Amino acid sequence: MLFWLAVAVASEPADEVVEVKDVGTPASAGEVRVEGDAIDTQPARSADDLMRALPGLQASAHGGRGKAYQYLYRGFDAVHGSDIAVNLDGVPLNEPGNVHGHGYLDLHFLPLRAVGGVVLTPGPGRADVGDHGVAATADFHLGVPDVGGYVGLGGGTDRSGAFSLAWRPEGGDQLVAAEVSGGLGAGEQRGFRLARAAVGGSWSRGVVSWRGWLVAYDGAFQSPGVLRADDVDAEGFYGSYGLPGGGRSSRALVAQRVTVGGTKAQVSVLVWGGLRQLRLDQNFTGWWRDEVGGDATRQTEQRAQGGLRVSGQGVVSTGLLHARLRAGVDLRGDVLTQQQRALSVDGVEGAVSIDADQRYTTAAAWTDAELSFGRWVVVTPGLRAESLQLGLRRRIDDDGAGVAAPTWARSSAPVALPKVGVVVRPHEGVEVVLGYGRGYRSPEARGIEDGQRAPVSLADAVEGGVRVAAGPVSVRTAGFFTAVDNELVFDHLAARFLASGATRRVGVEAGMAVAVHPAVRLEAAVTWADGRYVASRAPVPFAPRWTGQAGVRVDGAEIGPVTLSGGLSARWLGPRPLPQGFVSRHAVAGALTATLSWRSWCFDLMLDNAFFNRWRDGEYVYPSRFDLSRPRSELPVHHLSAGDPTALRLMVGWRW
Amino acid sequence: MVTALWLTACLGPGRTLMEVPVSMVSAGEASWTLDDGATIVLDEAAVSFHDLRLSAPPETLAWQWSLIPTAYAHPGHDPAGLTEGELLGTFEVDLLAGVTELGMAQVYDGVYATGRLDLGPGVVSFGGTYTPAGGAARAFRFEELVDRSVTQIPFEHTLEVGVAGTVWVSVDPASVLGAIDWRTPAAGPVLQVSDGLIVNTFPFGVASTRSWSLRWTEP
Repeated sequence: MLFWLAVAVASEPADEVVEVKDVGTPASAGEVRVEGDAIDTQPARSADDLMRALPGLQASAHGGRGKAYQYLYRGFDAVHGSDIAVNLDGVPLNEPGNVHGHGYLDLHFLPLRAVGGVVLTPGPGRADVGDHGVAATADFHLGVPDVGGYVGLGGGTDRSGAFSLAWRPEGGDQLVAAEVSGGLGAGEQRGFRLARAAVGGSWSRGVVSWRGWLVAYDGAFQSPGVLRADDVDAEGFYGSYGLPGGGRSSRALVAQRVTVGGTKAQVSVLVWGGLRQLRLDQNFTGWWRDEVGGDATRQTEQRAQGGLRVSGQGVVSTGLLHARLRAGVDLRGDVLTQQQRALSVDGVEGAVSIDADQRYTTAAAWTDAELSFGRWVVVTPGLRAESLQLGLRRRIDDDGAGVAAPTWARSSAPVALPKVGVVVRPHEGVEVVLGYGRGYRSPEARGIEDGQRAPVSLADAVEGGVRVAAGPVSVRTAGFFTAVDNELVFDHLAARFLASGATRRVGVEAGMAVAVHPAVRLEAAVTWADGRYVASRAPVPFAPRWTGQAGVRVDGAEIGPVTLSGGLSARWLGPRPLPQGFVSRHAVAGALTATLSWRSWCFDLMLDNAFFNRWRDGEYVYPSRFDLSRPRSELPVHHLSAGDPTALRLMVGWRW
Repeated sequence: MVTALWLTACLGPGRTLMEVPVSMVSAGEASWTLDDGATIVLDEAAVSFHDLRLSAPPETLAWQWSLIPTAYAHPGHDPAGLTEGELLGTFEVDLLAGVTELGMAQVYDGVYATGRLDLGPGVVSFGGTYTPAGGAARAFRFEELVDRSVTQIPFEHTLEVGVAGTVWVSVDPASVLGAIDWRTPAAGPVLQVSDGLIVNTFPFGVASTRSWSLRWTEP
């Protein structure tokens, strides 16, 4: 590192700041980049929706417009983010130990107009990614794609309104972006309001550059919860039981990065910190457990977090070998306090079932390289060594009684995560991508015992694929296999971990894009992923076996004086295995987005649920009781969370 | 291609909710002879219970639920029991009246292992005569409000879609009265639960898993 620092100070200034973010070679054959104006071609209302650009990923929104999505990908049920690591310009966004779900990943805080791009990488093939980087990694880049200012005002048939502004100066990557929106939503109990903003600045002199940014968000939202399938006729597909549901979410993140160096070498220091507050109310079973007060719970959490990344990269060329080397040190710490309480139908808080403080600390050193042997072969070895430290201080015991003198329980574990990738380019436009990587998922601090080694889950993944670009046609296909050594789940009733055994995921995916016009592209992709427990052969519940995507993307088409960008997207979810041998239905969803620019005017049109169908976003099977006049049944029944209702939204904007 | 994918995507039919008839009958005769040569003749045998539930093998479901990653208050991520078949309602059955049709149970197709039911809210009453070998007959009448659950009644059967049949619930009177100490002196002409130790054994006999049975028959 010191060597690179010396080289960096002595090196020529770069023409532009080089992000120490990726090594330029795909870490996976399935890697997807959505950057710049291409974001307009994605039907996205928030940054969460951009995750759907990754073929095979199902992002299920069962908690209203403000709760983290549930992610299902390549045979993983990543719940709210436990197996998908997401970063914003190097800052990790997952919330380990979150009161609602480990690795909670709420991207509603990020203004869509402040997203400069996202790189979605399947598998655990990245050395600069640690915890949660098991099924996939997403790197969001903060930036306003278009130079100049923008202000927009709009509304929709979903009884919503929105105000948006963005600004980026010419020749700089400073940014200001803000969004305020709210409304009642289409359907019952789908109201929301949010305000989110991002500001960023940068400065550069000689070999030294600085970039800093701040993102802040506050949102409140309702959630319709779920409907029993046998109540759909009575309540309406977009109906609700009117029980407590929704919450409030706030987050602020700030980061500063100083980079020293130029084209030969760079050293950068990233310091970041954040504050987080979350409240979630939910009742998915009605009065099944408590026929007097109801089954609703209120979960609350407050978190402070911070981290440091010191990294360097350098370039060495000797004849046939061109090497780009990176190394870094990451530190991260989170402290949080969380509670879960019963909540009556009238909104009165009751018995406390969770009351604890947590500490989550990681320290990691990593290195990787991109070794190019001529034009044909690139080898990308990497290694990450990480130390995980967990702390738990419970204020109530397993029986719900207060602990007189709460003390900290501590647990730790070291992990070593090797990676290697090989890219062979036998012909112009043809890439054969092979890779192996190990990722890990930390356990929840809520289950640790003092002095115990933290039981982490390790995932070893191999992937091989081919990417071919021939004129207007590009094709990619990949096969993958992931083995998780032991799936650890936390039994919150018994307050201990359950080791449920090894799992494996195997699958293939194929995608194709055809540019039928310089600005028009047709896309299609299909993924088959089979996730099973090794011993029992039982399928991993909820993870879809088949998914398909198809769409038309228009990126900057000139139609007379009008410029059009947009897309029509269709997603298909095959039947999902549910617990106890149940199976969900197929689901097909469509969305349309179009951005028309005329002179300084800009018209953003979005049609949710473009197929006007009643598709089931989530399906679940369990007993419930939403009608107290009926006897309490223990039979599991199908429940569903409705997909987006059809809604048309228009925003009129002005650029300067 | 889409059609082919659609067809090949099937994970199987999933689970089908069916209705099957449930009937009840006594598992034994109205009279029987004990090992010591005594005979018991019933002239009354009535039970009251509610909510018959049929369950899959617990180890199977426990395993399946353990596959689900941690989430809290999350739909479908909360283990919710073993019941996969159910006949809700309150039933008062005269065991001496022959077959009693209880109704139609809702059951999912699949593998079952056990059943359970809740006794009450009415009383259980057994009455008749006990005649020791070479001795004089003694009348008895046991009536008790038994607020207990009968659990783990074996029901090892696979219910399949399209296969007609009936779930039979049976009680064996000999097992219900199997723990009675017939030598207990009675305060009056009729031996009753209030007469001594039998007050303890009668409810246990009624609630004993061994006294109840579940079986499936096809026409």
